[in-house]
Amino acid sequence: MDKLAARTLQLNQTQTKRTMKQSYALALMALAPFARLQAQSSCATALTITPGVVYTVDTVDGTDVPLPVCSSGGTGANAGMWYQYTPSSYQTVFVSSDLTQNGNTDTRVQIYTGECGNLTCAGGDDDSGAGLLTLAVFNAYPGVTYLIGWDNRYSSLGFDFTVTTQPWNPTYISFTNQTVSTSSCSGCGQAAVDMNNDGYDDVVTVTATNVRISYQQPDGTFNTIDFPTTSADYTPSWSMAAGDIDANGYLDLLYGGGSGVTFMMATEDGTGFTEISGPQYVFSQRSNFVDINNDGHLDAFVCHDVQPNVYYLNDGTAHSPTTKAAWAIRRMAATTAASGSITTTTI
Amino acid sequence: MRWKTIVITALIGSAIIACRHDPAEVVAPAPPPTQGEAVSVDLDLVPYPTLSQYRFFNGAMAAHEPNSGVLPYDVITPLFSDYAHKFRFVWMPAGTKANYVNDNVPLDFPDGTVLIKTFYFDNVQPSNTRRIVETRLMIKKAGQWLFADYVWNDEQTEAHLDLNGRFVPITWRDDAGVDHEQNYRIPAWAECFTCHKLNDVPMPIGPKLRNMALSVDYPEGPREQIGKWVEAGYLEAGFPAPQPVAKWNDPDVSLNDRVRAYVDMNCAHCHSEGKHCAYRPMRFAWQDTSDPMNMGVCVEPEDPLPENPELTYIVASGNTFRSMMLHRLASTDESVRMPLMGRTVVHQEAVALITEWINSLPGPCN
Repeated sequence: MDKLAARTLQLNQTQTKRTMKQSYALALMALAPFARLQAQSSCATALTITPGVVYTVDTVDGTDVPLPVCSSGGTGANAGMWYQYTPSSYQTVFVSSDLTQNGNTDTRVQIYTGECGNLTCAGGDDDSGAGLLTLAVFNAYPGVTYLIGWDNRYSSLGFDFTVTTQPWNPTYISFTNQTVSTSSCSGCGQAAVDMNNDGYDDVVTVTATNVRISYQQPDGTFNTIDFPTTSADYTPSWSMAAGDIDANGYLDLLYGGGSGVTFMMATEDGTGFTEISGPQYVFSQRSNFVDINNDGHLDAFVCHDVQPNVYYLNDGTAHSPTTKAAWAIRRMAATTAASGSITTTTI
Repeated sequence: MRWKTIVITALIGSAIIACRHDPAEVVAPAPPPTQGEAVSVDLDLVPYPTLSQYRFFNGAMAAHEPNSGVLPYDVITPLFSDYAHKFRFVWMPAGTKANYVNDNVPLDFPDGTVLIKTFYFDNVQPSNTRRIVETRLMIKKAGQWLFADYVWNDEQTEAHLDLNGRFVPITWRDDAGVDHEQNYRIPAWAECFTCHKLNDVPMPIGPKLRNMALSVDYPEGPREQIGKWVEAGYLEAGFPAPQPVAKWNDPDVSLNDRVRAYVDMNCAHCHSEGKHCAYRPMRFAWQDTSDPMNMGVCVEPEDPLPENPELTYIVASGNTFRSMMLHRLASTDESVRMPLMGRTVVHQEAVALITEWINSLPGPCN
């Protein structure tokens, strides 16, 4: 309750600041009626909008490009037009160019909180309207100023837009944004799963030579640890699955690549991974762990896009730590079928 | 002239490479065939364990000096294969020949035909020499095409049958002196079959007459290729003159036809009726692409990418940022890139071509 009160206070302060800025901008506009277009050309001079009014953007030619990009479509815009809105109550806000008079114009919008030059995404949209028109929807807090930046990612042609609102009850559900540092690369795999069996889901991202686990803590924060691995023969460009194949309490990973399958087996103390890669060509678009033969041991199933599917049966001999090394090579048999024949190979 | 150059270069390259010795090679390669020994294709025994057993080439095999009856051939617009260079040859049993069917399908080859395609790189580092990676064969036996892939040894003296597929790390230097590091993919049987099939029956792709109407440098000099095939007894005469496809990188050809030729050879083996990707709406074969819709122009993708919802059309007229085709051609991500197989690096010249083409299309899509 105290937290909420504090936040409300903070928001009110922000609102006060903004209101002054808006008044200043409005005064300027009254003095110079032809300055309206210019006033929208940068974040600092964003035009305050009124819900329900239809606004016309003549051309997207403002010099201040809305960044960061909060919508899909990536960077590449080189101009933007700026507006702002500060609700006085909890509202769901609809920013829309989805109007019949806009025809097939191609629009995009970014929505922010924060100060110009240091903006934080609050919403954004590319194509949720008809055709390539835009309909951004976001939940807004009272007293917070939301900056609305239309960009010219695809087109600088003019268009009309509206902002409409409806009441929002923020007590239904709320989420707290938290940034977790993940590996990023072409063909990386990602998962949200409890890797160390402590009851909290963790965030896992992998590259060919690293498993990065952000362990979720009881307080909701994350403790990120990198586990370097041998260079995986196949990276999870198509799929990744997690399961405790050897029942040691630490989840093992399966990388499904375009040409084969790699297993990364968690060590007994969960401080590293051992790679096992099969020799079979597998175009493994999707994969999963499941006890296929109901013998109590987790098996791996891998969809093969161009040949019969592949599965790796677990005979459970890995459950003794002393036989683990041998097991890793011995106990998983891939059964594949090609052109009607069945072959069994061991990896 | 060019052919001679290639042969001479290969001879020099192989002579250098042959001086090296790889202790891992324990099986002594078969002695190279000498002049006068005929090609051997015993349909009861193929595919042989080694490439040399076919005796397709005289002397040092790496030089690819064709034996009697082994005819080099070429195509107007080739498949891009990670910048690998290719030697192509055809061999048919004595007294047999191929027949023309129509412009849109490969020639009807006789039993015993072998299509031979060698993939190699030049200026491979660190030795800056030629590296022959693989020789793929398609052999027609009892009306069915077999796949056989031969992986060359480090000494470049022999190639061994292997249909399991593998990656080969290669760094090659281009004409500008830039090194390109890649993980070249030798296909497994299933990869061969995925592209080389029609209605689940194995099938060649390249040797359609419409893609063969060009001049080729033979050892005796340049000749018009189709006439040479007839003269060599490898093609039954009496067919209509083919309507050739465009050469994809010929600046004198219309941009649209260059794109049509490129997608015909690089995409149509999957995106055509009866092919692996027939469930998608694109139809990229030369005879189909006079209709721009078959190339995906202003057609919404059935398989949008969650990370890139802005790619609202397969080809968005005048708008590269919204064109799925360009995005996939420019990607190396296995789950995004096109073609799915046979390419691990971006064909930059093709991306430039498609970009120019999309920008030339009147837009926007409605």
